Amino acid sequence: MNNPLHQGSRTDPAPHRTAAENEETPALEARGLGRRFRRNWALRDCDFRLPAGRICALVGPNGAGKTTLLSLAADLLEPTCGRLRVFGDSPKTPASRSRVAFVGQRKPLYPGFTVEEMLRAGRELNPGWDQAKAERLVRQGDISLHAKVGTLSGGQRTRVALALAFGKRPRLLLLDEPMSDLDPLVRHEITAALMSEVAEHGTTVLMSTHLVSEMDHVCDYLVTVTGGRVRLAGEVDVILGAHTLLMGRHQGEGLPSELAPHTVVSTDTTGHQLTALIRPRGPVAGQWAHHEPSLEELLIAYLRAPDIEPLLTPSARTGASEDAA
Amino acid sequence: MTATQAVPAAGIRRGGPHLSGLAWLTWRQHRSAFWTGLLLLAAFAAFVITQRSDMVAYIEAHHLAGCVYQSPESRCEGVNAFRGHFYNLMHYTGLLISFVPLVIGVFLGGPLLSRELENGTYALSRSQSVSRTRWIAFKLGVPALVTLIGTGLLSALYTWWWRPADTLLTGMYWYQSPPFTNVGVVPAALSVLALVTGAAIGMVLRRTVAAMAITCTVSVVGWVGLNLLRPHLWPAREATAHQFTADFYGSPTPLGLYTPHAWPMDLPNKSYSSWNVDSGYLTSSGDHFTSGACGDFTEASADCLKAHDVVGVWAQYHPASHFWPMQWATTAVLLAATTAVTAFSIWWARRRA
Amino acid sequence: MRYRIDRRSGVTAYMQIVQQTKQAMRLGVLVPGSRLPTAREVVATTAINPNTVHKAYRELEHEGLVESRRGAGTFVVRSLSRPETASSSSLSGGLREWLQDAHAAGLDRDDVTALFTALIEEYGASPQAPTPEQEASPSARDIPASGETNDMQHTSTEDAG
Repeated sequence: MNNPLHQGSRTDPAPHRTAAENEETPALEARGLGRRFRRNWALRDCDFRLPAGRICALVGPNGAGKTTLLSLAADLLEPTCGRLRVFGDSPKTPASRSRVAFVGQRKPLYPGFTVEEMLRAGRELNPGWDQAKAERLVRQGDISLHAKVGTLSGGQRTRVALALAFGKRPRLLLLDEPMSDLDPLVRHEITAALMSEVAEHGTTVLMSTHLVSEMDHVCDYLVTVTGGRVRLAGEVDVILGAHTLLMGRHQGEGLPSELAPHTVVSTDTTGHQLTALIRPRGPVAGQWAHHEPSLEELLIAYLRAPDIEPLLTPSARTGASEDAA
Repeated sequence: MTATQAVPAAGIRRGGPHLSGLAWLTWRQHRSAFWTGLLLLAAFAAFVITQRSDMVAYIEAHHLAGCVYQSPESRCEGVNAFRGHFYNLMHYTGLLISFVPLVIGVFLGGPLLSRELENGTYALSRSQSVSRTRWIAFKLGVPALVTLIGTGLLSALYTWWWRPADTLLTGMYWYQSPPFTNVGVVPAALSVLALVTGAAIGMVLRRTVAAMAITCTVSVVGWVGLNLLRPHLWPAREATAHQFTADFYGSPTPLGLYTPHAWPMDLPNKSYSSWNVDSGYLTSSGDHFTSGACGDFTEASADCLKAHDVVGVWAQYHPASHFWPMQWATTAVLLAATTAVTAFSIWWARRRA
Repeated sequence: MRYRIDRRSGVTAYMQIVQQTKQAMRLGVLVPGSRLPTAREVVATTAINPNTVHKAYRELEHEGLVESRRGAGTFVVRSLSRPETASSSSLSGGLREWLQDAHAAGLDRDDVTALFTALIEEYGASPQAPTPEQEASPSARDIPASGETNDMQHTSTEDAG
C-alpha cells in the first residue's frame, strides 16, 4: 500500500460505525421538500431518506434539480416548502454547518490564494479542522503548497477542493459533479482518495453525477431526480434486484398482455423482438428470457420515462412516503 | 511523506497584520486593494507635509494669519498673491479627494460580494462552519474598518493642510466643496456609505461589472443629493438690517456686488466666513420679499422696491461656528444611511443569498 | 496482498475480492495470521466503495476463513493452501506433462481451458456441498467464467512479493 502512515497501525472503525449509524438518524431526510425559482419548481414534493454511511449517487439529466437539492442540504438555498434534515437538524443550525461539507461543480477556490492559504482559510473557518489530513490529500496529488490556486489543473483543483472539504471532518460530504471535467486517470486517483477518506471516517457521501462509470463500484445508494422529483431512491443492489429485463418474441400493436400486472418502465421493439424493463409484481407469465438489468440500462430507462411511478426502497422511505405507499 | 502540522503559513504574515478567522480571510482577499490604498495614503501624507510647511512659511513671512479676503487691514493685501500661489494645488487636490468615496464604492464595494457570487466562491465561504450573519458582518466589517481608518487619516491630513488657510482662500471657505466634504469626519462617513452601498448592490445584482456601474451612478446621484441637502441639515441663523434705506434707493452700488441676493454688509459677522443660504428684502411689516422680483439695480428697480415697502434686507446664513455641528449632522445622516444599507445587506444575506 | 478490480468483468467487486482472497490463500500468499489489508488500503488503490470491502470481509468471516479483531484488523485464521497445489508437487508436475501432451496434440489455450472446464463441470458436480475444508478442491463455483482466472492469479502472485 502506498500509505505508510496507516500501514499496520490503522484499523477500520468504519464497519462498526456504519452498522450503528444505519439504525440512527439518517444523514439526510427530505419531507415534502420543494424549491421554486420565480415560477419554476426546481425541486418538488421530495420525500426520501439517505441512511448514514452510504455513498449515494444523485443522478438526473441537466436541470433536474440535483444542484438545487445539494444546495439546500448545504444551506446555500432555503426551501420554498417542506423541510430537510441533516442528521436530524435543519441545515441552518451551526451543528449542521460543521457536519456538512460541500464541493461545488466549479470547485471554487479563492483566486490569488496559494494552496497553503486555501488550507489556512479552511483552518480559520472550521473549529474541528484537520490540517494534517488536508495537507496529506494535497501532497498525495503532488501539489506544492506554495502553488497559486489559479495555476492548478482541473484535477489539482478538485483535489484541493476535496482537501478543504475533508479537512473539515464532515459527516456528510456533498459533491456536485465532482469528476465531470477530469480525465480517467485523474478520476481514478481522486476517487481512490475520496474512498480512502470515506473508509477511514465512515463519511456519508452524496454526489451528483451523470457518468454511470463514475458510480460503478463506488456508489451503493442511488437517488434519481427528473423534472424536480425523486424517481428512484435506495440501495443500488436492491433497486437492480427489483427490476427485470425481459427479452422475447412479440407481435402486434401495444404491450403484451402478460406485462399488464407489472410496472413497465421501458420497452423497445426491434422487428419481432421485444425488450422490456419491468418492475415485476409476482411471476411474469409468458416465454421471456430474464436478465438483471445493468445500472446503466436501468438509469437510461428511468431518465427516458419521467412519468413512471417512483420506487423507494424501505431504507429510503420517510414516514410521509410510507403513508403514501 | 510526513504529514506535519503546518507551520502557520510563513508566507502569509509577510508584513500583514496578525489576524485570524474571518478577519484574516477578508483581509487576505482584499489585501492588494488595502495595501494600494495605504500606499497612496502614505504618498499623500508626504505630499501634504511638504505643501503645508511651504504654505505656513509663506503665511508667517507675509503676516497673513487671521486675514480674510478683501480685509481692510493693510497687512492683508498679500492675500491675493497668497491665493495665486496656493489655491490651485489645494483646490484640485480637494476635488480629487472628493472622488475617493466614489472610487471606494465602485472598486472595493461593487465587487466585494458580487465577485464571490459570480465566481462561486460564495458557496465555498458559505459551506464553512461560520454563520451567514458572521460571514456578512466580517465581509463588510473589515473593509469598512480599513476604509474608515484610511479615509479618516486622509481627511485629517487634508484638514491639517487647509486649516491655516481656511479664511485666506476664496473658493475654499469651510462651507464650500471642497473643502467641506474633504475635511473633518464627513469623508470617512461618505466612504463607508459608498462601500456598503456598492456591496449591497453587488449582492443583489450578482454581477461585478453591473454592480460597479450602478454603484457609480448611485454614488453620483447621492453626492448631488447630499450637497442639496447639506445647508438644511442644521438650523441656519437669520439676520436683518435696515440701515441703508436712504442711500440704497439712490445708489445701489454697495449691494450691487451681491445681487440678486442682497447681503447685509454690516451684520455682525465676518461675511466671508459665513455661508449665505438664502436672503432677500424685508418690508416694513417684517415680511420677506423675494429678492430679484424687482429686477436689477436700476432706477426702476429702486422705485419698485420702494413701491413694495422694502425697508431692509434679511439673510439666512451659517456662521463659521456651524462648521462642526454641520459636519456632525452630515455624518449622522450618512451614518443613518449606512446603517440602513447594512441592515438590508444582512437581511438579504440571511434570507435570500 | 493487493486486489485488482476488473470493472468490466461482469463479476461484482465484492465477489472479486472474495475470490482473490481465497486464491491468495490457496497459493499460500495469505497464511493463518496474515492480516488482510484494511478497507482504507484497499480503496486507496482500487477506488471502490469501502462498504464493498467490508461486505467481502464479512462474507469471508462468515465462511470461517478470516476473523475480524476489533482494533487490530482482519486476520486469516485458516489455511487453504495444500502442498498438492505447490508448483513443485507431483500433481502440478503431472498437469505440466499433460499440458505438454496437449500442446503436442495441437490444442491451443482455449481448447485446453474448454476441456479442463468441461471436465471440472463433470467431475466437480459431486454431491458434497463445499465446506471451508473442502474449498481447497477446485469446485466449479470458485472458477470464474472465462480466461479472467489466469489474469487474476497472475496479478495476485506477482503483487504478493
